[in-house]
Amino acid sequence: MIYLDYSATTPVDERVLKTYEQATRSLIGNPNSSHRLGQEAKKAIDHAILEIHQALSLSADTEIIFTSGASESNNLAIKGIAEKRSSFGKHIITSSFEHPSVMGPLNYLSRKGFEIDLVKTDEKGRIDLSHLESLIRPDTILISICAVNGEIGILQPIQEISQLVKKHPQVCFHSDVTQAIGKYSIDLDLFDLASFSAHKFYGPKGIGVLTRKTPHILEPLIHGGHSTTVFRSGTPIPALILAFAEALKIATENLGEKTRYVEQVNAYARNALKDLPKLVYNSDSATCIPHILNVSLLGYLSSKTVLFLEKKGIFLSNHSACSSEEKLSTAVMALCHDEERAKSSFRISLSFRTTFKEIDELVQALKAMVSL
Amino acid sequence: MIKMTLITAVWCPSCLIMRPRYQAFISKNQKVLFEELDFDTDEDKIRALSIGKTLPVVILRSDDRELIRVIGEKSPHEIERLLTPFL
Repeated sequence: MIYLDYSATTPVDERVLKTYEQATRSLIGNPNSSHRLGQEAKKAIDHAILEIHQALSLSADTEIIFTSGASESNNLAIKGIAEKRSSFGKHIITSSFEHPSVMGPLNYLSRKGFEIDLVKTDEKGRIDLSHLESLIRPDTILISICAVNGEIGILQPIQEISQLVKKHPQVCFHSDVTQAIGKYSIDLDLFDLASFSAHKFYGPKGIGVLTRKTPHILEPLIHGGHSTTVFRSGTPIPALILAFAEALKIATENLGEKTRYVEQVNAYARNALKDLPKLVYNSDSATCIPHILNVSLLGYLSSKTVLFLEKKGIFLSNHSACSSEEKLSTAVMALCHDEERAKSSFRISLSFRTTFKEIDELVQALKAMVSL
Repeated sequence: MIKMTLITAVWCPSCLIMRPRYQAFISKNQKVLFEELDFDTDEDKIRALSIGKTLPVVILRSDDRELIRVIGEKSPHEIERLLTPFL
């Protein structure tokens, strides 16, 4: 089996699985209970929170809110700010390159009377900063722009966006950093709110985080009293939280070295793919992270390409894992406004675990497909 | 009675752009009956409308007879130009 779908999800690291298993067995108390077993679980969670802070070099005023995953984190950030701040304004700015779990709550809010503006992007999909500045109004309450697009890998100029947003203290800056964590070094202090999930960096599925800077108050999606936070009720799951912290610690170790290797694999793949007729690169090597290589094989429906490769034991995706299989790639469509290219695009997502031999086999399979 | 059906989806960036434009058009043409359907959750209602893969879609109908169908992103001026002749 050749797995090239690391941006959809990653296999759990054995060390993380061991942490999860041990915590499940040993931490049986409810962390909200006042007795010894509960307090042991709470202490373990507090330590895990400290480890997360250290791994991401978070400032002391950053709260870690545990959720079920990045989709919930995105929903909590967007709906939570919108509901809490609707008396100040109902204007939100976003981009066309967001995950469905950002687009979803924004369309929901649009139906409820919020005004959503989409910022223009350049030909490579990067935010037009002048346009962004021109869109900010006195009633703008939120800007939500992902650090890295999950389908194409476009890396946004988040530092510049953050500097711009800081000039407007009424605006909260949220970013979906799901595709960035564990792939390159990112300063989460640039954001007021940031969403991500463990399963993208070899952690378990079912846990995510929303980081929150202290002044930004949210209306919870799940009410029910104080847990590890007032913003998300529900009994905390120590094993998942400890596994999250362990996965993050591992993912952020030797990050530069791992990224440099992925850059080599990406360059190798680009070179090997270039002989395929009618192949177009949607991911630009200068502006996209090396972990995502999105291409279109013109004339070949991406759903059929994915199916063909699966039969050869190669697994990749034709668009974001959270989209319906019948739809076009919204990101490729937003980038090039070309239906043919969007219909034929697929994403090769790479990891430090990907080998050059795996790339050779992928290219061989694609060559076999186009020669049929 | 003229009825306008707007078909959108929550994952669709173009729907975010087009919803306020159609709402502005409707506010100036209040005799038009307006409904918004969701591509994913109103599947039963939109099946008969043969919607393709590009959203949003607006269908203007009179007594269940389709007058015009507008697909994708259009400027406010284009919306006026395309729909006004049927009102």
